[in-house]
Amino acid sequence: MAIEELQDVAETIRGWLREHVTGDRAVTNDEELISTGLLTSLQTVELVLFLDQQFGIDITDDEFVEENFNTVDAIARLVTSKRG
Amino acid sequence: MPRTVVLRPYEDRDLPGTLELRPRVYPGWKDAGDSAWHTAVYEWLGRNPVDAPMHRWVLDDGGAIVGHLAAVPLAYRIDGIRVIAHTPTDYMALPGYGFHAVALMRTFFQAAQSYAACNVAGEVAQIEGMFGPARVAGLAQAVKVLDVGRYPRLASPVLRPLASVAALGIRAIDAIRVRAPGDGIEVGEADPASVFDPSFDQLFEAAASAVTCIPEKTAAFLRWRYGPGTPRPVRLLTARDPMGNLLGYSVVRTTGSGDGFILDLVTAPGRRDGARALLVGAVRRFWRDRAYVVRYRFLPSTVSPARSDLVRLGFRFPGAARGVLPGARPERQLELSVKLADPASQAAAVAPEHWSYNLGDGEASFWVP
Repeated sequence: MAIEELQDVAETIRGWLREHVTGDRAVTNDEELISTGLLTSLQTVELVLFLDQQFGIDITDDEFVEENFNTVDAIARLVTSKRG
Repeated sequence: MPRTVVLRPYEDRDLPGTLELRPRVYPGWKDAGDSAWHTAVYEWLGRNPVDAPMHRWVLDDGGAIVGHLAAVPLAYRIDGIRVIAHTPTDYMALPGYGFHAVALMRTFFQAAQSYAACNVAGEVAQIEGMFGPARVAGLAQAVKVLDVGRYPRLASPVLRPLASVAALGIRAIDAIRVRAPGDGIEVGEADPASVFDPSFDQLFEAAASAVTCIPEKTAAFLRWRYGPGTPRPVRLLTARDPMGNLLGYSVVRTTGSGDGFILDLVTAPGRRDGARALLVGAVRRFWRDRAYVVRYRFLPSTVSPARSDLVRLGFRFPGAARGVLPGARPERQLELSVKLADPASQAAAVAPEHWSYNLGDGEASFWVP
């Protein structure tokens, strides 16, 4: 996968997190989102819907695991692998 | 320090953890900490006559229970076919475990072949919605205020004297409205412990033959749902013709705070006279129970009362009127959703006009105070 694409996706996800989760605080690519309890259940659902709408991907049940959602990097990798 | 949260099936050793979890997740629910009551509810759920297993899962964070979800099986008759669908219930997770809460629901949808639920629109409905159920309809909400003076939104000190007069007026008008309906129909109160005989099976089969989708309310089910051991004891009204044949029944309950609920009202198909008589009997019962408001949430059908009969008895439908009516609880809008494994059943079940459904048919009503 192209590094540029990965970075673009990560930036979009960071923007969404800043707008919907952290307020004005920026999120880093390797900040832990789940193991620190940052995401509420509703924000988790909204994030999945956002990924679906923004990138045209459909997260399957098997992909809905902590490893794929714990950091912006992990989410970006999931998204780019599905768009590939 | 990173957490290791494990999602696993519930085990007997998790009972103390789930009992401690409930009041932490629902601090505003006065019954949340009633361990004996919650334990009894699960014993009762375990006696459900539906021949399908209940499932439960927990979120375990290093030995501490931080989340829980149960899947309760309930039977439906959908287009002549018996369908068992699970309903998520007792869903809870501590703040900070949002992702895992969604994972719990995902586990539910993986385990349950079919799903049916009647939820208050809100966060849980949104989480469930992620897994693909179709919204059938919002339940109609009929409300009748009996005592304006005790209605919290109106009972300001200034209005209280006026409200007392208004309450007397409502009572006087109701005295006329609920005069014996005639038609020779006898409405009586029956003991839920012993009344559910085979005539209730016949009534259910008659209803199921006239309505495409209906919860399977056989005598065995009703005995379990409303008989001894039910989480919240109820009163049962029956309507019978002059020959003593069962025309329908109604299940009513008045909470300790004076909220009256019609949990269920089913008649033989097309017997509006029976439905009218049961409504009259219910309103009389609520007056005697000193309820201040009556709430009836349902999907209209040929085995339910007609809207016009409810309006004639002084019920209003807040969602359909201009402005805010006394008794309206728009935040408590209940929505029926389904995701059935059989495509033909799903196609039949997504049409609201196919349904007979009452508040008491869904698991949400198991927990009503």
